Amino acid sequence: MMNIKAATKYQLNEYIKSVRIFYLVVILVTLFFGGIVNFGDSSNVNMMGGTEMSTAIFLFVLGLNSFKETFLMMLQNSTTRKTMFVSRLIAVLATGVSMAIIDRFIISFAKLFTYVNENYQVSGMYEMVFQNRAESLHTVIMNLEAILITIGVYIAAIIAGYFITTAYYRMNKILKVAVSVGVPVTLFFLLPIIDMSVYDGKISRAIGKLFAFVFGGESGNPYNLLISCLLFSVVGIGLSWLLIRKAVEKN
Amino acid sequence: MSIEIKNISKNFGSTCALDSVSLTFEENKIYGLLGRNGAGKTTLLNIITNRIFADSGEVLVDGIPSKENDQALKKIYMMGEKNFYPNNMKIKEIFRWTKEFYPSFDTEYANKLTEVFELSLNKNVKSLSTGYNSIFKVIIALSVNTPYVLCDEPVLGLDANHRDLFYRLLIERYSDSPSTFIISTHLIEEVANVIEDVIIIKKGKIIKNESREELMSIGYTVSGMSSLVDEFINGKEVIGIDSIGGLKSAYVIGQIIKESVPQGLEITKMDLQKLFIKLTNA
Amino acid sequence: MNISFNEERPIFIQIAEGIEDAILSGAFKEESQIPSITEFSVNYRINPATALKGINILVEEGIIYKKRGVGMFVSIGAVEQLKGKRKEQFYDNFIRNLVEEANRLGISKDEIITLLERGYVK
Repeated sequence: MMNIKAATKYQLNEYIKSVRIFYLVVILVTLFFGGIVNFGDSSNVNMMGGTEMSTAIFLFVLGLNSFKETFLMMLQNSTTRKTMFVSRLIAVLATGVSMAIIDRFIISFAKLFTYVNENYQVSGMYEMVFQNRAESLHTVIMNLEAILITIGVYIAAIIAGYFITTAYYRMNKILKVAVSVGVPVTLFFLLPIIDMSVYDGKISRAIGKLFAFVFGGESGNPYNLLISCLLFSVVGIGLSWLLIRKAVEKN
Repeated sequence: MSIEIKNISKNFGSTCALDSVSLTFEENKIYGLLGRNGAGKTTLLNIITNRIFADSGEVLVDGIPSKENDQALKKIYMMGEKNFYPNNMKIKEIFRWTKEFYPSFDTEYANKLTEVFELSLNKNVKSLSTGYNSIFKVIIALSVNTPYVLCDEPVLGLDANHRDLFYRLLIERYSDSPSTFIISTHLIEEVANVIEDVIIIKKGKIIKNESREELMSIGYTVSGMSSLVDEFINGKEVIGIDSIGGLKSAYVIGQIIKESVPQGLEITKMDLQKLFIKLTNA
Repeated sequence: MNISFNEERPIFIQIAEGIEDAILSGAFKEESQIPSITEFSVNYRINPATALKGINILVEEGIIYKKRGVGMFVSIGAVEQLKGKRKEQFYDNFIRNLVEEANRLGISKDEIITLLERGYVK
């Protein structure tokens, strides 16, 4: 693992380049809407929420974009798959944690506008999903818990993207097409049909229940989400490793 | 101290790229890895550097198996024919990262070489011509200072001046601080004087592995009138014949006693390029 | 000195002969330092091991000697020694070829002698 420091530095650096641009846009948007609301017409109720959702999507895409180029660069620089994988996980963890904290700061900052104008409402994803709980907690604890949950979501998002891109790298052309067509068709076409005709909607109800549980169940427990994300990440990491350990340079 | 290749085999689907290859690259020597296109040169180098995996066999770098081992792999730098660097990366950034991964990389020397080759440090990889794509990798190979440097078709796309410059710099660098260079190429003539040992690979098999001098002394060229040449080579091991009009040149394996050569025949040494062509023709 | 390599003989022998020529022509004077192995190999784009092999022939013959840490020098008496050696080779290298080529061209012995005299007049 001699290269782990250099490999981590490299992969973090790649993430940071994209993250910088992302935040530049987020901050501009926040200021822009904050400004409009406060200095413009203030009779309407405006809402800003779900910054974390855009971050999660961004991280998913970031995960998607980060395999082939880095893989070749690592091979060029005598880095084993093992080392590049471990350093990738370190980079993912560091990015997920930092962005969760930064996002919380942005949300807290945006909330300042609400003191100026009551019609402007700001809330993070956490407060939106777990409204009752968020209101019952002390602000500091609420923010800390929000960060913790967000970390889980972010890591799961990058890992999901990363797993997909690694899987695609390992597949040959035919398999790629088969998966690209087969998965959406199965999920959005075959599954609903089978569900309706054979199982009388049991499948969709089961999926609904699963989602309800993940998002806190009846008690609205945010740790259901955290644990689900972590489980998802662990499985994703395991599968990605199985794919990467045998990955080779392809012509 | 050596790279030891033990019984490496590799198949791509039904084609056999390497067939139980065993050989040793010793410390501080310049090797020529010669073979026609598709003979298995790049496959062998890719296996040594852990870019692809062998089906069987192993590679030891200073006694340590190189497969998935950072410690062994760090001793090797490979400049591939294919580009592995990100397309959007600037040359100076590539140098910076190379220094991170190979602390022995001499950035100052590399910068000097970019001036010699007239390569701008601010250029992107993707904006480079084929020639300059080889040049920036050659510059890294000459500056990286690892014990083993593998060059796969290093002069691809280079003009005559730059090729000559490369060979000069290579010898300079090798004389200053020797390390093992493995130069894989199908352009033998130019590299012939630079290399010490020759490895010829044909259809995934090593067919020659000896010093250049030995290889060239395994035979000779005899030329003269066809009838005389025919008479002379009768019963000798001939690997090839070229004839123009009534004249013939035969490439003969074996030693020769000068006095036994009849008048009218001329004996010259075996030419590496010709020997290579004769040996590797299917 | 300038060596243009030919295909006929091993490079290391040609390096040795190139240095011999330079000594005979006075380019490398007796007791003077000659270029290093690196300079030879870089200049002629040859493997240093090859250059070393060529120079070692001359060292063994005593035409060149090494001073540890300083470099290589032409021995005293090297020119005389080389002349002697070259004279011995003169028959093999020139006369044999001369006669062979003359036979191919149908030049008689007397004609050769005439030609030789013409060569000296010039």
